[in-house]
Amino acid sequence: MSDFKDVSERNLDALLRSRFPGPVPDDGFSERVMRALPRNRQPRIPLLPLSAAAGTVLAWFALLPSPIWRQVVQEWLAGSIGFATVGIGALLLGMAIVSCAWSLEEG
Amino acid sequence: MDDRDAQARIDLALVARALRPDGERAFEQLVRRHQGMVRAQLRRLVGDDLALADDLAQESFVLAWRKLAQFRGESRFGTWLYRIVYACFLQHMRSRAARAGEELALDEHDARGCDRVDPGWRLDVESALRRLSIQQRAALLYCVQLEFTHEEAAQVLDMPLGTVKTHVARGKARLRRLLQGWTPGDERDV
Repeated sequence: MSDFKDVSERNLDALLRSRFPGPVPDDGFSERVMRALPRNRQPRIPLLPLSAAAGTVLAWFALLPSPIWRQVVQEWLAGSIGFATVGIGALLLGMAIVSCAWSLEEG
Repeated sequence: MDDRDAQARIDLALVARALRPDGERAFEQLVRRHQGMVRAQLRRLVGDDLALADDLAQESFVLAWRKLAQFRGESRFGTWLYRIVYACFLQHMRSRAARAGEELALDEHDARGCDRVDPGWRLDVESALRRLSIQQRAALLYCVQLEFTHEEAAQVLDMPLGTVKTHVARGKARLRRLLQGWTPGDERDV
């Protein structure tokens, strides 16, 4: 019987392959999986608007202490769209998009 | 390779049918075609815990069912499925490590054990494989034992091609060191 040091240089791959036992017999496993499948795999549609709303509310809360809201109100009252309005709008839109993307990814 | 291509075409057709509203039967065929290899891989990855391997295999198939629409056919269905399987395995390992308050040992430097083997011990192949890092073991599983190309293994393991090659080379080198005192045919474990 040869020493492994000699064998390994030539046949390590073959040795490893020979130690892989191959496919496992089913023995009812497939039926078990089929019983465990969720009935509906599609993303739950109500989750999308809900997560978008949640993200928007979170963003609003995060900025609540900031004076930027007062600036937004002043811009609205003045009938103009300024830096604060655009910034807040972009932020809320971004949060809503991220929330939607997350909920779609998670399904 | 022709046979693999033919199998891949069958998988592709089954996926298309499985995506229909009444696609459960087609998906069941996919499960039956792949469960043997999926469970065999997980048994190699998790070690001797056959029940855990089957639980992870079931979790992987359920996830594949939910995400089936995301399969674009850019790779073989098997490659896509094995990627989910490996991700489930890693997720389980991370959760287990987190519960135990440990860091998950993925790379070589954090691997369990060391290369210094007591001369009185005799390591067999299984014991030596268990002493490799998770990534080395996985790289050897896919690249050597399952004969995937390095590119396919990189997809499954979700790591760069060069990293896969490095893990294969280091895993083999470490196996050789660990097995120096072992003689083929000696099945005695540590």
